[in-house]
Amino acid sequence: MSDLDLLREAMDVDEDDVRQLRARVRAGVARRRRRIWLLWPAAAAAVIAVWLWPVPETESLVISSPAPAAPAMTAARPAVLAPVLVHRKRKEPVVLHLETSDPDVVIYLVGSNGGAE
Amino acid sequence: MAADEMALEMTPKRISGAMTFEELMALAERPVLRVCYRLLGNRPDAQDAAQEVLLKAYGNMAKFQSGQDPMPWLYHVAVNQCRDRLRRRKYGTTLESITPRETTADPEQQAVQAERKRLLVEGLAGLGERERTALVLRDLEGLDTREVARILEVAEETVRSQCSVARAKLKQFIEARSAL
Repeated sequence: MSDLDLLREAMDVDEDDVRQLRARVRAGVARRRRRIWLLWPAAAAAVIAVWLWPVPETESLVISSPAPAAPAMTAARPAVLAPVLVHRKRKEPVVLHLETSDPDVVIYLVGSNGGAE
Repeated sequence: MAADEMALEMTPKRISGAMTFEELMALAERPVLRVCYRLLGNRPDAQDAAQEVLLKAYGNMAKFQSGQDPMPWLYHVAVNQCRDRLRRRKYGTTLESITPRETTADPEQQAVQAERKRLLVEGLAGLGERERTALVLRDLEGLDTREVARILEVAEETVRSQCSVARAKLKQFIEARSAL
């Protein structure tokens, strides 16, 4: 007999070991099944309890017709009055200040070349 | 048991179609328990580990419904389970657990074989965890190198090298102890 055969034989399991394991596994499976059988009714009871839980009365929502819309804003183009030259110095951009008929609207025209005459 | 018989016994069977847990148990209980025993070195721990493995299989039965061979998965889980247990404690073998079977009628021959077995078991216990696992799966369980590599998630060369180192160490241990 080779050493590996001897080792195989020395470290083999017998029928008693296997039977014991089978019994333990079956007991484990039965425990799991019991746990599942307990878990399902508990879960179902929880769902039913949530379903039947009394909901407090709330005022019903009344949907009324919408309020009349505000008059649309008219975009009137303000008229440009007199242009005013703001800067007229060397090395500074030319800036024209245009006043309009609308006091809230002022137009500035700024030259892109700072030194332009 | 002859090596061929062992290999035949260990060669996973292809199961077509769905498999019941009872069928899985009939196929796997002995090999799983034996691997756990050989990896852990004592029977109570092997029982615990094998039970864990088979209960995991019970929880994963859907994996085996498509005719997939369950044995590689079971070996993989068994090896991991045993590694976890070995991390918590040392490999241990009690002498009562390796009581030899009577394979020969000659009492002197029996005594020699029993001593040899005791030395081999001690030698196996002295191996590193990876070498022992490779030796157990490849040489004792009779799985082929590719299958062992897949179970251990390593390269085939690694399995060959680990087996070869394990055999050499075992031989060296036996020779050293026999010389005393």
